[in-house]
Amino acid sequence: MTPAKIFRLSVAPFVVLVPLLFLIGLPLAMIALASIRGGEGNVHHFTLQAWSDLFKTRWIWETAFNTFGVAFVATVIAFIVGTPLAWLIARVNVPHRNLLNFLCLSPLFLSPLLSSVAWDMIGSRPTGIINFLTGGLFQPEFRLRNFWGISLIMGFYFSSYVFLYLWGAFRNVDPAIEEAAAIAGLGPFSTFLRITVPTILPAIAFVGLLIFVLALGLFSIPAVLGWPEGFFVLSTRIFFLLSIPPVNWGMAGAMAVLFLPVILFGIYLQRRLVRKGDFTLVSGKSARNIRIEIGRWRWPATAFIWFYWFIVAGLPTIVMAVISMTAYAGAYAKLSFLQYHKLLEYELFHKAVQNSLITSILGATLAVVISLGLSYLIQRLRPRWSPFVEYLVSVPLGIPGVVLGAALLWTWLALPLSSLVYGSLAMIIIACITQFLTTGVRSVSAVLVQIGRDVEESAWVSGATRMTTIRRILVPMLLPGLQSGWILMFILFFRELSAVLLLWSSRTITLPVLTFEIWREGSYPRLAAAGMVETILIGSVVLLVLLLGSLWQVFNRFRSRHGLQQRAFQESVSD
Amino acid sequence: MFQTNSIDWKACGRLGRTLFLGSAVAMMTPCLAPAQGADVAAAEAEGQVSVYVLWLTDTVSSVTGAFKKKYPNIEVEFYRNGGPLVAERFRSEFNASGHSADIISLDPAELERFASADMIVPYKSPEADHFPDWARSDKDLWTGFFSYTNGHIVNTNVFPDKETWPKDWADFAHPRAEWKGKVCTGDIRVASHTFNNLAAINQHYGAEGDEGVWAQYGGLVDSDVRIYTGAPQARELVASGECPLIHQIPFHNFVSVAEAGAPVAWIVPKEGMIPVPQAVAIAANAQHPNAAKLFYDFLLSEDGQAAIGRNHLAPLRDDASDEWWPDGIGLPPVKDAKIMPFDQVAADAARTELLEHGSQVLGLN
Repeated sequence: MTPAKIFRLSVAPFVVLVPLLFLIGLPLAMIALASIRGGEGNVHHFTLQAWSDLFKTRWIWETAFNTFGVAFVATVIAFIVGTPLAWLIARVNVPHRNLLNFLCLSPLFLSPLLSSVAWDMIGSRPTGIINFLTGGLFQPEFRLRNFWGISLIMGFYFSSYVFLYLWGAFRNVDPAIEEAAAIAGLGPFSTFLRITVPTILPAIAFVGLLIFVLALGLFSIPAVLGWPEGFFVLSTRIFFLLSIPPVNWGMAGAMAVLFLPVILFGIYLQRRLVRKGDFTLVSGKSARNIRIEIGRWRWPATAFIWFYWFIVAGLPTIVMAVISMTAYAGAYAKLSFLQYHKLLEYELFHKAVQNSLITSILGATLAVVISLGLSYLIQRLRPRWSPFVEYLVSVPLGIPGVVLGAALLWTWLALPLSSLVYGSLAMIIIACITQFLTTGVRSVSAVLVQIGRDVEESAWVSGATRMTTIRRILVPMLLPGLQSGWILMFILFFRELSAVLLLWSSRTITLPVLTFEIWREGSYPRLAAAGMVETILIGSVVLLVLLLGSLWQVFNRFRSRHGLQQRAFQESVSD
Repeated sequence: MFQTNSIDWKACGRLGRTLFLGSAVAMMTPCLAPAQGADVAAAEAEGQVSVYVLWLTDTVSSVTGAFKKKYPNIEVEFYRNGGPLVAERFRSEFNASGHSADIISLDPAELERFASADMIVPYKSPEADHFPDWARSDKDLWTGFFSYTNGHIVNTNVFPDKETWPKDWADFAHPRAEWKGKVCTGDIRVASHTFNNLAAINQHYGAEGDEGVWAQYGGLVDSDVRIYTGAPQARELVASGECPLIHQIPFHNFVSVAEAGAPVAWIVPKEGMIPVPQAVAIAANAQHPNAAKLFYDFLLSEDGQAAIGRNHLAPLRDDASDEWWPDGIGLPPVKDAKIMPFDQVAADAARTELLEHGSQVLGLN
């Protein structure tokens, strides 16, 4: 047995699994333990009382139906809206593509809390804009505070996730495949449905699972639009349970565990789907970047993208911008920047902005690096224990944030030397990584699976080591995917609220926590102002990263052209 | 529009002061130990105090800001959330024997639970004598230092005629026709002020009868009451006119919309506003015990109580001054306000039963 093999068999599992078990396994065990633990203070015993109580409640099945129903409908809506957008911008010659690309990404910058409050103002209230404009057309009134309203707003919210992922996948599709379809007589839309979509199935499976799971645990939209009407989903029901003294952690833990099989089954399905086919889209052969011509349809397509932006991002942003300039909800006669002035004078606000930027930028970068390593392990090295890693990192996404936050609190308090981390910003970063690591891993894996092994094998044949191949071949090819992954992680980290609700303090407060506090204090104008700042900050960082990405591409193009010219010159000289 | 004429504080009488939490007096015994103030130098040497509270972020920022202004060498770190989550974090940290708050501020019933688990330690502040006996633990384990005070709010655009306003809690047992579909009340299960409101009405009017608690909450249902989840949301609802009559809400929520110019009026019920007292205690494993004592003293001092008052909460200090509200719309100290008697510890003991029945009456799932 070679030393390398000994390392692979003994040290590698230790290096990978031990940190993951600390980061994810222990908190999960704490949650499971909470669901079977009884007693008070320091005297505990094992019991299934919480499980028994849970199934005796009047609301458990209704909550389960609401949760799965809303998540399913929202996922379908997100795909219906997001897929054509991604295809149009990635593969079709629509005009002003860069601008439209940014417009389609912009809903990601809006926090779900903020957009749901905006939609509440637009569509739910008796005095809402839709009811005002339609003048009694809807009887008794147009309402978003119900199953379909919540699903619709959630679907809108997640449509930009679909766009972000499928845009990257569509871009990697070899145009030769579509050209072949065209030669065979298929039109652009038939090519899209019968050729392009099936080739990006891994990305579709990933994003479908991701959205479904995120929708299962999303808190803010059902909290704003559902809770006031007594409409509960899993996340709001758990938060509700935790708001009533004495806190019933047993039942909250049982609810969290109850939904885990669904997540695990989803991962299993996704793994099967990916294993069944060959989804290599980028091979050693060259591929030209050709866009599909849709003739006169390009203008209605552009109008569709603008309409999407207006409904999903523009309208809520305008509404929130107006509300942020009022003294109280409904006082539209006197608009001012008073709320912004007040925020700027608020010491906690400055701290929150600073902390949010640090945790999200640092955390997202760290998470992407870890994700790259784990993805390579899962997709390329494929040790026997890699499925375990895949399942382990995926589970926290399905745990409602507030329960995960409590589990992290219990875990890190119990660990030796926890004082080095507990109570610091590192704890917030750990909470975010624990919850969203799977997003990074799957985001990188979805792109990695599209890159043929022949690319790496060519490098090895030329004498490159594995590390050199990763650094000089794989990472540059993965960059668009890594960039998308980083952007998504940054946004998720920046906005994370529920997992840090039990972990923050005035020293480590983040902007979403402060915004949530403002929401709890009930000042919608101030909430809108804080939300606008949050949106602008997220938008600015994402724009900066996209610009850096574009600059990098230009630089690379220049370098390769310059290199080719230099080589041609050297060859001509030597001739 | 803020209608000060709807509040006649002096005329509200002093009865409430003597009755307020009257039944709690029975469990109190005078503390004979001489009060020892905090050692400022030792506190400054510690340089930090960690505070866990359920007051709103604005309030805790403002109060800790006032403390820091007085003691610039002591950093204040705080954590705030709903009572159950604050208690959970405190309990988890305490049991881990590690990092914990130095100061914890929750309602007296929760602090009593901590006391029975030896999680808080006695401290007799030199300022404590300024607080009524009913607001203090008999073993000096905690001191109630301010109170939320519940009353009604109306939107004066929707209800311009004062005759249509409720005059007392019992009016909701026989609701007016004009109120149908326009009344909101809090979810009794979620916020402490909503549960305490139910419990106080139960203690004052009894469970059954024409004006009993279930008749009153049944009357709300007859008015097609809408349930809100947090008082702050309710104040936006009443300001915009979406929900023009709020059955019960703490006073400071009213002030924030009144100051912004919303057409609202505060109504003090005939039988008095319902108090929801908040108390402070020192953690048994406080890492900064001297700074904790100093912060405790500060909350009970004139400066601390004035900072509380500036947030339109009712200070419990006996020499609280009207001058603490330069804008003229602060809530007078509890000693000058019409307050309904209420035993919060006894209310907490009846919590499960009251919540079960109340949820049935209000149709909460």
